[in-house]
This record gives sequence, structure tokens and C-alpha cells, in this order.
Amino acid sequence: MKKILLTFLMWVFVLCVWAQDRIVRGTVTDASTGENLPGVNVLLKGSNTGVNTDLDGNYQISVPSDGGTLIFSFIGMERREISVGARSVIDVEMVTDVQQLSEVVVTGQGSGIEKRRLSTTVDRISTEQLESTPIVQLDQVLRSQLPNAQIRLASGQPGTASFIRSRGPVSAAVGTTPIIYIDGVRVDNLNSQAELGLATGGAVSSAIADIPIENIESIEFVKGGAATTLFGADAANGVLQIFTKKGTAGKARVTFETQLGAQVGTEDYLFFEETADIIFRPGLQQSYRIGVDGGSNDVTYSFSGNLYGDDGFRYGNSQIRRNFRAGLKAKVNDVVTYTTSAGFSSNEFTRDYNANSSFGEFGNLETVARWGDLTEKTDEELEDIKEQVRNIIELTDITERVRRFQNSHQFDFNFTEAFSVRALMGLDFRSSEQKNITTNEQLIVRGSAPEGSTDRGTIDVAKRDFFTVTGEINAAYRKDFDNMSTVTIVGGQFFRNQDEQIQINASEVTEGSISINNAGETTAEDFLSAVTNYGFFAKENLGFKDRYFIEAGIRFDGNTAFGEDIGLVAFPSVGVSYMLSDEPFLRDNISIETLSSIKIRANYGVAGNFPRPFANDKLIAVNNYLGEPSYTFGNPGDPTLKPERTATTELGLDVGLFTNRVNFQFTYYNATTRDALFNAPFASSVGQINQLRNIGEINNEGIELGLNLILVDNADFTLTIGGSFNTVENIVVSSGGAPEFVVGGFTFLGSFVKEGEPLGYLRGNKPIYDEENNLVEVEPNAYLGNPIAPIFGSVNLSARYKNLSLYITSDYQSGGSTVAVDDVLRYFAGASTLVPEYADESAASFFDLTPFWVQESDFYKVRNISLMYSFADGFFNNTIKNLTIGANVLNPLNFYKADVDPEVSGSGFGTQNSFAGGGFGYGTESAPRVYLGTVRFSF
Amino acid sequence: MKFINIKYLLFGILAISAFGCDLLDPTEVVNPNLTEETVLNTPNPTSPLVNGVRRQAAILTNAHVPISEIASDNYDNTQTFYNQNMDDLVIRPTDADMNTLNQQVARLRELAMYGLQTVVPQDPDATAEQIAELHFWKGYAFMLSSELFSSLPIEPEGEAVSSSVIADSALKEMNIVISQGGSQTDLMASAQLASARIHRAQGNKMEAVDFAQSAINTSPDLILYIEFDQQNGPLNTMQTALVDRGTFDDFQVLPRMDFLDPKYYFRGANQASPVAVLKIEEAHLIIAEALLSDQDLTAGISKLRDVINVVDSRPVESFSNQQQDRTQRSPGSRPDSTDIEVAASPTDSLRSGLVLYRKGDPISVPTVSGTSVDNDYLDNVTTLDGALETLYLIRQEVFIGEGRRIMDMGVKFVIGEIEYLSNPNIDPSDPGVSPVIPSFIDNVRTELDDFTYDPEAREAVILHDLNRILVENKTSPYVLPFE
Repeated sequence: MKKILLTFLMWVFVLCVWAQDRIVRGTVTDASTGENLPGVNVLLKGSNTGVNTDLDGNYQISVPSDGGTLIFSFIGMERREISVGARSVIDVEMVTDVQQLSEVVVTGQGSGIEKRRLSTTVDRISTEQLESTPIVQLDQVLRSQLPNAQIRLASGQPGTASFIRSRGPVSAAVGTTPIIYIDGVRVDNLNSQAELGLATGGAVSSAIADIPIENIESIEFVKGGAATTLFGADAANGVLQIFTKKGTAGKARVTFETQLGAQVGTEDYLFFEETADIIFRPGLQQSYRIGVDGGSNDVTYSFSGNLYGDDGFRYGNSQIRRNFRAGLKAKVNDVVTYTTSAGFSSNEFTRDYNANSSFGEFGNLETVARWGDLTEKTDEELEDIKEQVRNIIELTDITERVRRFQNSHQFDFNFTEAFSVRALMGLDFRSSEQKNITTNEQLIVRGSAPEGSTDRGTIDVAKRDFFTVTGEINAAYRKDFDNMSTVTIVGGQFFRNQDEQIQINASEVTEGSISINNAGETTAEDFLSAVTNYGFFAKENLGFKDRYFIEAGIRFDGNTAFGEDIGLVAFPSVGVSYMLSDEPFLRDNISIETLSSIKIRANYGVAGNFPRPFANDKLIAVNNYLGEPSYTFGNPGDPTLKPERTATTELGLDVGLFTNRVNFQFTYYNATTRDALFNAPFASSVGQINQLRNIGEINNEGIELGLNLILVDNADFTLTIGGSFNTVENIVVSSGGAPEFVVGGFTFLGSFVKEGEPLGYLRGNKPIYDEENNLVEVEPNAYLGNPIAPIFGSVNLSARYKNLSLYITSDYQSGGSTVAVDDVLRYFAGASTLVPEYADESAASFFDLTPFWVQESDFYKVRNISLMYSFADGFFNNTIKNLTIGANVLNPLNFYKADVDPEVSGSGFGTQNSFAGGGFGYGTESAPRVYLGTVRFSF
Repeated sequence: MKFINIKYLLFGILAISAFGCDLLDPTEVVNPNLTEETVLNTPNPTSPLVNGVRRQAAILTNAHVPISEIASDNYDNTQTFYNQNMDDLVIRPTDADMNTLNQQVARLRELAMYGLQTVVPQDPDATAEQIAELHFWKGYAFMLSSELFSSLPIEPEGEAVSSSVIADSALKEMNIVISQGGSQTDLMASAQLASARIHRAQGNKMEAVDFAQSAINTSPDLILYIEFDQQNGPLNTMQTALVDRGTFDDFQVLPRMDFLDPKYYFRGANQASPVAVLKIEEAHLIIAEALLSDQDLTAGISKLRDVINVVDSRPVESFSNQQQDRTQRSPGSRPDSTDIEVAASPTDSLRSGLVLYRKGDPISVPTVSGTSVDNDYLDNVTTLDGALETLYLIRQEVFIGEGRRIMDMGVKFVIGEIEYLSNPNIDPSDPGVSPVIPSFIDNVRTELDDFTYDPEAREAVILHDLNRILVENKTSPYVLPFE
């Protein structure tokens, strides 16, 4: 590793200087509309001299005395090469790239590669798409924007975790959240309860909720398999990469945006209308954003700052976010370009308990558990309940504060047109503190402590500091021969994650205190994980006649926690890409306007997951017991432990018709995880806790269909409809002979891992009745459903009439199951609407009624409706330009089958990135409706 | 030439800078865990190991006491949080609590054995007392295995061994403790009482009485507590269920024992209520039962008076219990006031003084042993069966909240599914995989906690007096081992 660092430092320091001769100027326009094109990349061929056009499409660039050749490139446009000759002014028209395959993608490639060369697919969310969505939290932004991913917000309360899945769960040991990069630097993606954290009834905090997402230019997502091979040992769930803005040349532009609106609790899923009256109230949401960007030909910059606050949609919730990010791109000289970005975010919020706690008042109302049947209450009784509940929530004091700093430094060395080197380094530091102050007064009001109690006050504090540093260096060699072209990339990467947690529980706290110093007793525990992952990779992409491409790559990964016990693990990939539409026999017979492109692709790749650090060691656990250390058996140990490996085979077809007005994408994938890490139990008589073992095999198989139709496309009116349809069939092929084990849920109905069933399947006792509804038998531990919907997708619409644009995103799922846990509590209160009388009478216990609470989790949800109007003309002598006013409604429409929101999960999360299937709707508020007005302008 | 110099200078700087890589080394290995090797090389590792074994005994107590209390007529589980099968004595190998109990009892045994076989031999500072205590806990694990299961493997992935064979293993360990003597009076007495208890369960009357008397002689006030750690855990699950879950009043006591509930209460942020697992009352009860078995009514009653004397010497604590409802969802649906009388069965007369009023002043509850049987009560016992019924009532009352009642009921738990799925020596047809529920218990298993309550008349009548049913079936091999 030291060699890598040294090499990296050398590249950083090696700078060279060359000279230019004369200046060429010009304007770049869109051939179809005649509009000037800002941001077009203008490059002097054979050199590293390059500039971007400014906002008005103008550029100027230094060229040698003999002129040379300029290359003009822009996303969505065909690349143009123009010989300069003796000219000093060159105006250029660019035409739409019919095949749309010259777009360069970075994620998963080590370096930028044109899409046409790739055997894998990359999903991209553009700036335009991002601007249509209020940007508060990354997972909210991604919902329904990634056509092949399921993103499910588990709670409407602030800062809570989500489920992010694409091709099904590939591991029973880790969660499904992809690894996340911002400008090439890994960031904390913990999307579950931390190892130490406050239990607030299933309201799990997540590091995804506060990823600094200010000033995003685009997002790329690769879904696993061969596309993630170069990310190595923990990329099996896919890779999400965020690219931030670095500015466009031109004089400084200041953009201001304000969003004001209201959050309103959705009543769609409520059992009692009265719950909304008692606990919901509209809350103000406000956001102010200022951005500055500009620069010269050599240096561009971009800055964005945002102040955000909301009062939540219910009592007990509020949130304040303060974010900023700056990005800069500087051409140091003809060889070296330096790109950097730095972001800071501060997030503070208050939260109430969820239902998996007797303190969850939303659940207490909805489940009849504490307040009885609200429909039978008189107005006076309801008022009394309202007063009590609001008083309890007022006395509840759960707060969380997160501060996060992230940066990225990238040096690009373009020694020649063919040979370039990229060196990158950056970090992410996240510091969070959860605090829960429980006073005697609160406990007395809740009925949990007798009147007059003075010794039950507690303060619980959980702190987590996560620091990750990423370093990467890679070299790329690109060369075109007569009929051949090659792209070769070699490199190395390391990232070190340091996770430090501490939890302090103070009891007998003096009433009114907010400090643990004022406690009779305190206990503390900590958690530490410091691990470096390092890898070396090489990739070759070979093209023939610009239509046959073959690629192969390999990455070797190691990890300091296991050192030579595991050593370097190889993750290979191979793939082919074939541009069938470029074959002369097709091109000669079918015009490119009719058949824009057909690309056939196939690949095979391996990604993986390392075991939890030191999971191979035999350990003794030490616990404080009655003031003295005590030993017990810790991790039993397994010296043969190694990473699990997910091998994915993919076949795909991309078709563009009628000048790409019809785009169709199809992918079949089959991913098998071998040596899957199962935390299965030993025989009870062994007396040991579970040990992670390489005993499992998991398979995910499915298809991904995408269709994009441009129905109307003229100067005044465009209308586009897009959609996706995805399937995932997940099954545990083998558990290596081990018994099934629990990964979430409850004792009466849990989420389990068992051979022959989907990962995390819902298990419970299943009563079987005859035709007269007499109980015949009870099948113990029966399959009751799959919490992960096997069918899902999105439907989006975008329309523009002159300057008015409409954007609607929605998504759906089908075939999965959710558990209406709320009704279990209602059953106990005699208020179940799901358990029939005959079943109740014959059941030995409610354990034998579980199928009645397992419901279909199908839904169709409209996530965002955005209406924007952009004024063509400036105001006040063009001082104010690009004025846009808009309106958004988030979560306006929900269609669903279950008696709970099938998306939320008040239980079912694992800890510290362990696998969880979710699927337990339990006293958890759904994401609220948000009505927002937006004004954006620049000057 | 100038360029070359700059290059040399640059590489010179880089070469020097390379030394600084140590400052940036990202490959430092940080392992916060303690490996076995590290632990065994610490001074006197036996000491924290013994403490760990005690802690494991607390975890095991949590694994068997709450489910045993629900399974018996002592408590009705009215909420969802704790086991839902046991109230109707539905005992399945697929029940997660069975797997947990299997594992925790094995873990206590294995941890004690690890101490004896691995830690002690490497620890020159290990004391005789520590070694004796490890033997005791190993024996205690065997004793519970024998009492709670009809058969169970007693070594990792071993064959299932019958209850009586496991009892022999338990006695062997207790004998080691007793024969070592030493200064630990309570440990010695605990081993003696445990031996008495084991012999009683096996029907070995003479040995049971001898060991019971030895225990009384060694420590006439003996209580072996399982301690819990209110700060660091494990918490006392029974305390959590009875009081600490606040608005959830999970366990509802049988009305005739309302005055004994809750045995465990909130003692403060740093003190948990302990659970007594061996106490000298049992020695007197064993002797009394042996005497009654020998048809000696007078001596038996006399011995029961000794029990009452011991019980009277035990502490009674006062604390507020206002947050407890009878029941939480339907206040007033169960007896909840001192003026309510309770009959043990429809054929019994109503008795007063058994129900507490909790919404007013602090209540007073015995925290070790309590009984409604006093000398006047005993004066009216005139038959052997009546005495036996009274003895079992005292046992029920004295041991409430300690997980003992189902043993008196002759009920045995099962080998869990994780065991038979993972252990090649056991399959689902093994007898230990099926529960033992005597037929006379099975007949009433869904009615164990049932009673009628007339709030107007202030009367509650329990449907079945289980103590009477036990005595009526005293010849059954599952109950009343001396008969």
C-alpha cells in the first residue's frame, strides 16, 4: 500500500509546462433549434488543451500556429472534429446523437468510456431530472428515478432508513444498499441501525439521509454484476455515484432558489380518521438555496448553499438542514487538470417513537392498544385523548444531530491523447449524536411510572463518528488503429473506514437536566471498526470496426482485517458489445432515422462481500456484570472464512427506433452468490452463538425492461413517456445443511433465511381449515410471503409546452407481501378487521393466525408532480435571467391493497448493515404529502 | 540543464517525502476484539470466567422462568410480547423460546466446562472455591435440564439423554461441590439443597430428606439468588414483564395469588430484583412431603409450620404499583381490590385477603416467599390429601415467579427444532421432541388460568384448583414423586 501512496503522491507532484500560439473563437449552436449550447467541451486534438462553452455558447481556445483539429463534444450530441486551418473564428452546429451511445460513463469503468463500447448498462439521472425534484434526502431523490431499483422509505419521520434494492438481495449477511461515491470518493452508506444506537421503536437512523447532495450534476447507478467488478469486494449490491457541479466558463452567475410549502400527513393508510386529528398537523417546509458559478477557460467553479427547515407533518417532528458544496475545475497546464469538490451538511431533527415500543403514540392510537376504539369516543373523550397524546409527545425529547464533511481531489494527467492518468483522493467524515431525554414527568404521564416517581429519569446518548478516506490512481491508454480500437485501464484503489461509536446511558437523572453529568448512574459501551480495503484492477476494452467490442477486467482485493488469512481475492469480468445496427447490411437497407441503433450485449462478472472484520477469530466476550468483568463465549471463529462471491451473467438488447423516439432496453440477469455468508445457528447443545460461515448459495434471476417513448417532439410541444418493468426471483439455493435463521420481524411472524425460500421470507404458523371453516391442522413455520416484491418498476411522464414543463414520476410493485402488524394489536383489543371469527375461536394462540395478517404489498404510487414555467425573457434589463417558477406535490396519490402502507417498515431492520427484508407495517407514519412552490432565478 | 536540476530536486523531495508515508499508512490493523489466546494469558482469568458463568445463569433464568410462569396457572399472558403458546400449554419444538432455552442451558454447561477444562488448568491462581462454583453451575445446568426436559443432549451434538440420567450427572457435580467442603457455606448448602431437589424429582425419598436436612443444618436461612444487572444487563425479564413495561401489564396473576404479585419490582436504576433459585423453604417442604408420603400427618403438618416460620422471616417490601391495571385494556375486568374474595374452585369457599388494591397507597408484597397458609389454616387440615394439597399450595405460593410450578405439574418442555435440524444424532421423532403433559393437566390446559368474576358481588371463583387435581392424581408417575 505504501507503494501505491508513493506513486500517487508522485503523480500529484509531477507537473509539466507547454506553450500555445494563437486563439480561436466561436459559438456552438444546436442544429435543430438554433439555440446556443453552453457547456460544450472543446478540445484540441492530440493535446490536453480544452475549454467549455459559456452560457451563451461562446468559447475561445489556444491552438498551435498550424491550427490543428478541434473536437466538439456534448452529451446527447454527435461528436464533431473540425480542422482549424488558418481560421480564427469557427462557429459550430451540433446535431443530436441519434444513437446516443457516445455518452461517456465513468462508474464501474475505472476511467471514462463511451457507452457504445460497454457490455453493461448504466442508469443516469440528469440535471434536468434532479431539478424537477425537491432535493432534501438522497433516497427521496432517487425514488422512481432509477428505473431498475426499488427505493422504499421505511418511515415518514426525519432521518430514517430506507430499503434500496435493485436485483434482489445477493447476500444474507449485508444489507442491499449499494456503495455510494461522490466524485470518486466513497461515502458512508450505512442505511440501518448502527451497532450502537438508540432504540426508538423501529425508527432507525440512516447515513443515507444526510449524504451531502447539494449541487449535484448527475447520478450514475450500476446494478451489480460485471459493471461492479472494478469496485471489488463489497460492490455486489451495485454502485451509485454522484457527480457534483464544477461550473461553466463565463462570468459569475448567481442563482437563487426558494421553496416554500407545507407537509401534510397522509391519511390514506390510517385506521382511524381521528388519529390524524390528534397527531397530525400541517408543517411549514422552507428551503433557500444560493448558487454561484462561472470561471475562465482554465478555471471554473460552482458553489451552492442551502438552508432547509421543516416542522414535519406531525407533532414531535422538526428538521433543520444546512448544506453547502463548492466545486472547482482548474486546468493547471496542458497536462494537468485539477478537480475538487467539498461539501458540508448539518442536519438536526426531532423524532417521536415508532410503534415497536409502548411509547409510540401513533401506534398506540392506531392499534387500539392504549386509547381504545377512537370511533366510540365522545367528542369530550377525544379532546381528552388529544390533550394527553400531545402532552406526551411534547414531553418526548428525542433529537439527532449530524454533521458531515466530504471532499474529493482529482488530478487528471493527459500526457497524450492516448495516455492519461487519474489520481484521486478524498474523504467523508460523518459525526452523529442521538439523544433521548426521558423525564420522570414523561414516564408518569405515560403511565409507566407511579405518581411521585423521582428516580426514573434517563438520558441516553449514542454517538458515531465515521471517517472514510479513499485513494485511487489509474492509467488509461486509448488508441484507434485502422479497424481496431483499444482502451486499457489499470489502477489501484484503497479506502479505509474507521467507525467509532459510543453509547452512554444515564439513569436517575435529576429532573430537568439535559446533561448526563446530573445522573445517579451512567454506563457506557463503545464499538470500533477500522478496516482498509485495497485492490488492484485492470480492464481492457477492445473494439473492431467500431461495432464489435470485447472487454475483460479483473480486480484483486484485500482487507486489513483478514490480511493473509484471506489474502487477495480475484473478481474477474468479461463481456461483449455488438452494434448490430452499424452492420452495412442493415445500414444499407434501413435508414438511421428508422432504426437508430441496435446493440446486443452480454457479460459475466463477479463481485463480492468480505465478511465482517475479524469474523474468523475465536473470541471471548467481556461484559460488565454487577460491576466486575465477566467472560463468556464470543464469536466461535472460523479460520476458513472468506468473502462471498456473486457471479452475474447478463444478456441484453438496446434498441432505438425512429430517431430514438422509441427506446427499448432489455436485460436478463442471473446472479448466483456462492460461499454465501450465513449467520446460521449451530445445534443448541453446542452452546455457542451464531458464526458467519461460507455455507450458503443464493440465486437472483430476472429481467429488466425499459421503454421510453417520445410521443410528440416539436418546437412548442414535447411529450415523453417512460417506464420500466423489472422482475427478480430470489431463492436460497442452499443453506449448507444449517437450519433456517431469523433476520427480522417478530417471534410470532418472522423474516427468515431458509433453503428453497426467498431470502427474508415471512414465516409463521399456518392454520388449515376445511370447507366448514373447522380447523384441520396448523402447519408450523410455513411460508407466508415474500417481503421483497418480485415485480417492480416506474412510470414517468414529461411534457413541455413552450416554457411550461410538467414532470410526473411514479412507481409500482407487485407480488410481495407485507405484515399488517397494527391489526395484531387490534386483535388483542378485540378490534381486528382481518381475523375471522371462526379462526379466532379455534386458534390456540394468535401465533396460529399469522396468515390473516400477511397481505399483498402491491402498490402504485405517484411520487412527484412537478410543474415549472421558465420565463424566456429576462427582467430588469436582463439583470434577472432564467426565472423559473414551479410547483411540486410529493406523494400525491397512493393506490395499494394492504391495510398498512406496504412501503413502511416499523420493524425488520438489521443492525450495522446487516441484511433485512422489511415488510412489517407497524405503527409507522408514511412519508407525508408535500406541497411546494418554487422560485428560481439567476443574475 | 536547468530542467534536469529541477527534476533531480523534485525527485529528491519526493524521496524524502516517502519517509512520511508512515504517517499516512492506511493499513494499520486495529482489532478491538479479545481473542481466546489473549484472555487466557491475563492474570487469574478464572475470576471473570466464574462471573461470566453467573451471568449466564441469569440469562438462563430469563430463558426458562417467564415461559414456565405463563405455562403454569400462575400467570395469564394478556399481551403479545411474551410467549403466546404456553398459556394453553402448546409446547412445540418450533417455538423460538424452546430453541433459546435449549441453547442457554447448554451454554451454561459449556461455559462452566470451558472454565474447568481450559481456563483453570492455565490459571495458577484459580482457587478451590472458584473451581467448586464452576462444578456447581455445571451441575445446576444439568439439574435444570433434568427438570425441564424428558430428554436432552448434554454434550455438543450429542445423543438425547433421559431426564434421570441427566439427574445423575447433576448429582455427580453437586457431590464434587459438597465433598470439596471449603469456606463457602452457602455454596455447600446450595449444592445440598440442589441434591435434595434432584433426588426428590427422581423419587429418592430418603436421599432427598437427608440432603434437605443437611442443607438446613448448613444454612438455615439459605437463599441462592440469581442476580441481574439493571445497568448493563441482563435485566430480570420477570421484573420487566411484571412492572417495568409500564403501560403493558403483560402478566396477570391468578386471583388467589394476587397478594404475591409482583414479587419483582423497580428497585432503582442500579439495582434489579434478584430471582431466588434455591431457598431453604424447599428443604422443609421436601421433608414435609416425605413425611406426608409416609402417612405421618402430624409430623407433616408440623413441618409445614416450619415452612411458615421461614416464610414469615422473609422480607416484605412496600412500593407503589399504581401503574398496574387488572387489566390494562379492560380495567376492572379482574379482581383489583382488597374487598374482593376468591374461591380456589367452584367447590371451595371464598377467602378474603388475597387481593390487593394498587391504585392507592404503596402495596406490601413478599419478595422472597409468601403464603396465604398460616397456622390457623393448618389447624383445619385434617387429611393426608388435604395436607398434600396445602403443601402444593404453599409450594405454588412460595415459588411464584421462580419458574417452578410446571415442574410440580409434571410438564416437560421439548428439544427445539434447531437442535434436531443441526444435530445428526437427533431427529424429529426423538421422544424429547414431544412435550410431556400429564393427561389430567392436558384435560384442563386451556382453562388453567380461567375464573369467573362478579364485580358487583365482589367475588371471583377460579375454575380449577390445580393443587387438588395434582393430589387427586398423586399416583401418576409425572407428579408427587414420593407417592
